Amino acid sequence: MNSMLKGPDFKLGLFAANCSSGSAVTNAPDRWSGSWADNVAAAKIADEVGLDFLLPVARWIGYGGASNYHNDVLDPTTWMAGLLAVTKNINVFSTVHTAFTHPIVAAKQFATADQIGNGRAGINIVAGWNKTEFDAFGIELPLGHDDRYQRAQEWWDVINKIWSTQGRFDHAGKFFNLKGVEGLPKPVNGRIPVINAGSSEQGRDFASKNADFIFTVVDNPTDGGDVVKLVSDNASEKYQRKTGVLTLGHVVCRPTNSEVDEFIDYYANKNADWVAVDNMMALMGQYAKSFTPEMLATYRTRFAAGDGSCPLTGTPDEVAERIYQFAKAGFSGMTIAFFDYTKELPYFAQEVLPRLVSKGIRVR
Amino acid sequence: MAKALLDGKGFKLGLFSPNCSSGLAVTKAPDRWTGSWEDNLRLAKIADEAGIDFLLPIARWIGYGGETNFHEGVLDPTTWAAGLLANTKRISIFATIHTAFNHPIVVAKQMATVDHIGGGRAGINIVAGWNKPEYDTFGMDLPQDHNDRYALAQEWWEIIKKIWTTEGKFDHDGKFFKLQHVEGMPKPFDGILPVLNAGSSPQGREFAARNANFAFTVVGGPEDGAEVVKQVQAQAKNDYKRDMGVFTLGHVVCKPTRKEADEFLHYYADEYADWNAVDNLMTLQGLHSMSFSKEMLEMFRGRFAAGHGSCPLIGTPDEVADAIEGFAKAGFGGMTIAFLDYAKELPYFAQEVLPRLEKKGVRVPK
Repeated sequence: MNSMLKGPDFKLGLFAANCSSGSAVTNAPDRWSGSWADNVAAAKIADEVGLDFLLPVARWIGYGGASNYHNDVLDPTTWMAGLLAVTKNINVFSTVHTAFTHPIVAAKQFATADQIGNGRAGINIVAGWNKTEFDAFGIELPLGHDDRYQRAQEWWDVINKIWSTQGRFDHAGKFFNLKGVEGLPKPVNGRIPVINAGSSEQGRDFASKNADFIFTVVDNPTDGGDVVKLVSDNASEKYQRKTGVLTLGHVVCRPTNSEVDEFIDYYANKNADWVAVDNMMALMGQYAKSFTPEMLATYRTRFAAGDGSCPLTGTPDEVAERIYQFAKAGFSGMTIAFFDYTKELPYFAQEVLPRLVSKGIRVR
Repeated sequence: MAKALLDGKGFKLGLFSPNCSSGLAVTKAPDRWTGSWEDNLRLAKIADEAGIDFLLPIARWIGYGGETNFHEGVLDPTTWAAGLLANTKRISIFATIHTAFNHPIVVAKQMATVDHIGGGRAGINIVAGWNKPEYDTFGMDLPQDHNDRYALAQEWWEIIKKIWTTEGKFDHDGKFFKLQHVEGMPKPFDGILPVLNAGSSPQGREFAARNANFAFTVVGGPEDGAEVVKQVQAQAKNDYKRDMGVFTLGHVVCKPTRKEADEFLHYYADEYADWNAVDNLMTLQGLHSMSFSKEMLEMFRGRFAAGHGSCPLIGTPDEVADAIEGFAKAGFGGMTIAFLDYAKELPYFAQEVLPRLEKKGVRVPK
């Protein structure tokens, strides 16, 4: 079984390393490059220090601003394949849009990546929200969330059927009409872990039905606890399934608080790419339901610092305590992002990970 | 770093189809190629080390039936290329991509990423499609008219090149794609990727002449091959003012004695041939593609069992080197080779045949 699905550990993963700037909407000249060489370096450090997973963002056009935030983004699926080929233990997800990739292609690409990683691949399923990207692809974004998720469900059913069927099958559905489908190789363990970040009612329902982990933005551990309960209850009541919940954080961890504050002020205030922040928040408000209107009204700084994710900022003690609060609130894990992943992850690994072991939420 | 594949030096050799179970051998032999990731990785490292120029995968979505269900077990070419480029140093690696099954914006980003992984060593083999049962699988119509197949392929490739060469956003208003404010970063590591195309219909040849660095084509041998090379290169020159190389396909059985080579060939490609799969494969190629003439199809049943219809490179190291030299002299820029067990047989080929080709002046020492 994939190690993401095992053990009581609070899972930690790096988010958005495949994107230039990572999760920091900033013009700071020393921001994350997102280059392949830097991604290999980050993946090897993460593998070495025992992080559980890497999760990329699928982004096809930038958000504008001086940095054209998230314009320069490595393709998540080939990135996953390449990183699985050079790492040993860490799980690597790809993020894939159901509307942009045919399920037969996705089934073979993920099965192959899973073979490369000997059972360490995962899939983050995106039904789509970013209308400007659908326009780029010349594909209509259904305005109804029902339609988006109906299609996503059929797409995922086709993939599962390819992975679980010996021999051929036909599929006559609403969105796909397929004849004589078969697929080898299968994933190493028959299936791969599933993450889904759906936040609308239909998205949450899709996640309850299909995902091992629901990936969701929360304001803090306290409101996060309510979200975890809601989501877990929905999955167990409606589908008799257990789903974990992951959330997002961005880390600035330094020996002292004044260093932390200075660094945040540097990259997420003085050098923030406010134009890109506002573009992104406007798009999300219009087409996605990940953030409540209240969040969008107050989150400008959080977006600049970490794409709207929860701040994990402070001394090692404070950062460890903050992560501990999320574990106590019932989350199964969270993603973290750094301004410069390769430069900052070693200090985090050295100082914060042992504290999490002491607190009993991780074994390593 | 200039692209080694495009340096024009020496006759290029590549391994074809190792991402597929059975490789090119339509056989039930129990020691046939597994096509597993582990074996592919091992093979790629041997090939990289030995100085083989490139790896070329097949994109196949369903098997050809027969007892082995030939080419059912096939690793996805694009993620395969990504994983192998991450673990090799010198060799060029292609992905093989169906224009109809992949959105050009996705392909542009996937292949640019793959090229970064390899530091500029990726290539693209563009397939406009011929295999009707696969189109049925995807729930798509295979246009009966080759004009339509290649019109789509041309527009698809134009979009990818435009993404790779345009700074900032552009719109595209075409027959098959209507795209708004497209942009894409990263660009390929080192300019547009080398392009291979195996189109064999008149429209396919035209597409290759216009777009490909290398046309990839089945021939009967060096003699008829020389004619094909002349035709294809003249077309590229006359119609598009382009220089283009031509690659063909071979399968290798190389042993110390002719007798051992013949016995081995007989073992896997006659005694253990998967004739049902051979016939299915040949029927499909005859019905749905124009890659083979009717006479060739009838003649080449044995070649299909031994190596998917490719030219035999069978015999002692001297004989195999001579056969390869024949293709170089016929004007080919290179060829792909395949073995029953690539990883087991490539080292002997590299040790015995490659030095002979260098001595003949066919290949440049690596």
